[in-house]
Amino acid sequence: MSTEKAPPAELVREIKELIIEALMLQDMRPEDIDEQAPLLVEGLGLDSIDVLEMAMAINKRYGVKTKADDAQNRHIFASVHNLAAFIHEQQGAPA
Amino acid sequence: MNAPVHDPSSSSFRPVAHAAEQIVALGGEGACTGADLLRDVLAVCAQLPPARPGSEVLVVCGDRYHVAVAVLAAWERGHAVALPPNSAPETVRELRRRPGVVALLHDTDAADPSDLRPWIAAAPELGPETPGLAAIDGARVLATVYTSGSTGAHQPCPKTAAQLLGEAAALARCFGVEAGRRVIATVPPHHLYGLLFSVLMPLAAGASFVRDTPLHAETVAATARRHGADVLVSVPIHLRSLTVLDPGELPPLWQVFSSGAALPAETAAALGDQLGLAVTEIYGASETGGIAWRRHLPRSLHDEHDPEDMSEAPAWQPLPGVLVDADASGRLLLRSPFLPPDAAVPFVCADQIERGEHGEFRLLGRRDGVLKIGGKRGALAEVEPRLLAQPGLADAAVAAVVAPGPRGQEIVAAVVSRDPNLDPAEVISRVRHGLLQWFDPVVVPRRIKVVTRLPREPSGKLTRASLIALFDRSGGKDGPPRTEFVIRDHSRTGDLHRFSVQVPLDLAFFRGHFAGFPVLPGVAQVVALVLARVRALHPELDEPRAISRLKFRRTIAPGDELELQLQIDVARRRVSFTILRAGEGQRAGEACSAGLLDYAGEFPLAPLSRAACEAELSDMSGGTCV
Repeated sequence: MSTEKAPPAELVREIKELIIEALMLQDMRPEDIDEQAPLLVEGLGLDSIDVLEMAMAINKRYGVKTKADDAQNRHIFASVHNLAAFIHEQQGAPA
Repeated sequence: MNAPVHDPSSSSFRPVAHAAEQIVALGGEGACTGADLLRDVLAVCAQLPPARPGSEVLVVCGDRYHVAVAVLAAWERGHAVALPPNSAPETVRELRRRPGVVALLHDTDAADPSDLRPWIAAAPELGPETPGLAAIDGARVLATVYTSGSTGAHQPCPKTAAQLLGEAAALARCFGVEAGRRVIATVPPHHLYGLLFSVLMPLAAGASFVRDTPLHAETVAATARRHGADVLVSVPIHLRSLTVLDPGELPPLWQVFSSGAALPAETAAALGDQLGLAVTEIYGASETGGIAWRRHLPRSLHDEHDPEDMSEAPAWQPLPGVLVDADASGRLLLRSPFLPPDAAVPFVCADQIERGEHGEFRLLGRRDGVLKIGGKRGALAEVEPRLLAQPGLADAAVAAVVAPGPRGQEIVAAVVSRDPNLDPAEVISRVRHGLLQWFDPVVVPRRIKVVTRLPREPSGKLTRASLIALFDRSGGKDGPPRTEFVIRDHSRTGDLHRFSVQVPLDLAFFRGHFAGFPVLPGVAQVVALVLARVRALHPELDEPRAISRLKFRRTIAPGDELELQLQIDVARRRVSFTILRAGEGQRAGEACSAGLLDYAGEFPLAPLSRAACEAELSDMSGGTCV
């Protein structure tokens, strides 16, 4: 997984908006979410239900599916940065 | 171990039906057979202290095979097992201190000598003459599961062999699960549903189970394909996420079980239409065991689908041996072999039902008052004391609110920091960390608000309405407020329709209606709730010609749970409505408002737009009406 390459800033912002929209966090703004901070329990406080909800929203919006391995999925959903890098990579990959 | 599962004459049970070569568990380093299981169980059994009356072994394992080995080893040694409600460290530590608990068996990374993995790895091979596991007497207490009661602390719920193994065998018989079937589950094995359906039922049936618990749709599909699984054990929220899959990604699933919360009709339809899955829904509770089941067939197979049938979902069928009746007020009366031996007969359940002619029934509303978040139970009353006990907090309170989407409900918390100079983000992070020592992440409030003081009354009392007003999203920056109520359930008895309704926190109609004391205007109740439902049921009725006998007796606040009753007389084109308070609390059942809608007559009322009606009825907000 090429999380080394920085994902486009526009995609990062879109994903923050997607998180706010999909998880109904209306009292947050995209700039309140730190790209590198953990999304899960001790960071933004997302749980497994939120993660499944996000996976559905990402599938709908970008046509990208999560991996067939939950250890990799945990890495992908660890932060906005990782999520953006994953989507960027999948979109670039030949179908 | 190849013996009858249940011998009724002696009322004893054999938990494992596998022959030596039959596969028990799939995954890990390779399949485990009946012979492997017996070897591993006896090795772990040898490490356990001797049993004494009431002794328990605490089992904290994530791997389904380890759960099977641990519980069978404890039973073989003469102990019962205790299964914690979650594996949060403080919860486990507290249960470990329970007087009956003599040992712990775990497969976690905690540095604790009671890790059962090294014992399994070193298990000596057995001779060919080794006898199988002992039969277990039906009256023996085998397990304590913990339920979240609405009263506060987790309630221990002891289960006898007749309850636990009897139900496992009955489920296998009822659904035809037998040797060769392969069970995969997205729910953990330590809750009663997961334990029964994904461990004990396959063991009793000679079937196999997958050791892992996959979460993401792609992982569920890949794991199921890899092991050729044909039975899926899941909950509505996980099943919903499977709808992103393409046909063929899942192997053909012969049975899909859902429990833990009501399966939304749209999830059942999506699974049926897109993936051809028929879902078998199980109704029951930790206290009662399984009660009934129903099967949602894909619509293509539904030859008797009646488009007029508003109730949509099929009726519930009691499980074999279970008898269901209703008392005068409609409460479910239960006679079941899966009830505790000392339970009252019949056992009175809080849920209300309508019984059919052949024993089948419909649920009219669940009244258990227990919060369910994405199918997981968590009592509000458990979270608040844990918050108040945090040394960094001066005051704290929690409330359950309606959450949009499949989550259903969520917990919000307002906290007052002892150190007013501490960064709120730091306060929230510490609060969250503290709660995670005790609870599953889904029960930990996602929305935590740091305030300088809670809006308590002089008596110290804090009303729910003033607490959740702190979270009112209508004043927020983003997103238009909602204009629709959340309809959680709909049932029908003749002409009487009942809807269970939740009032969203950010309902647009609360705007401008009394700062700090949000009240739902009568017009919003009539237009957005009552008329909208009548229109959905009977579009041919058009618009009402007259509205009479309007009564607004009690206020409705954001977050309230309501029951809307509509008595629809199609012939006379008349609808009477009553809105009652539902849910938990002493005020449940109070009538909030009522009225009569007349759809007959020559001239329709002026179009009942919200604005028109608002002007017309706004006077009512001031006087005796709200």
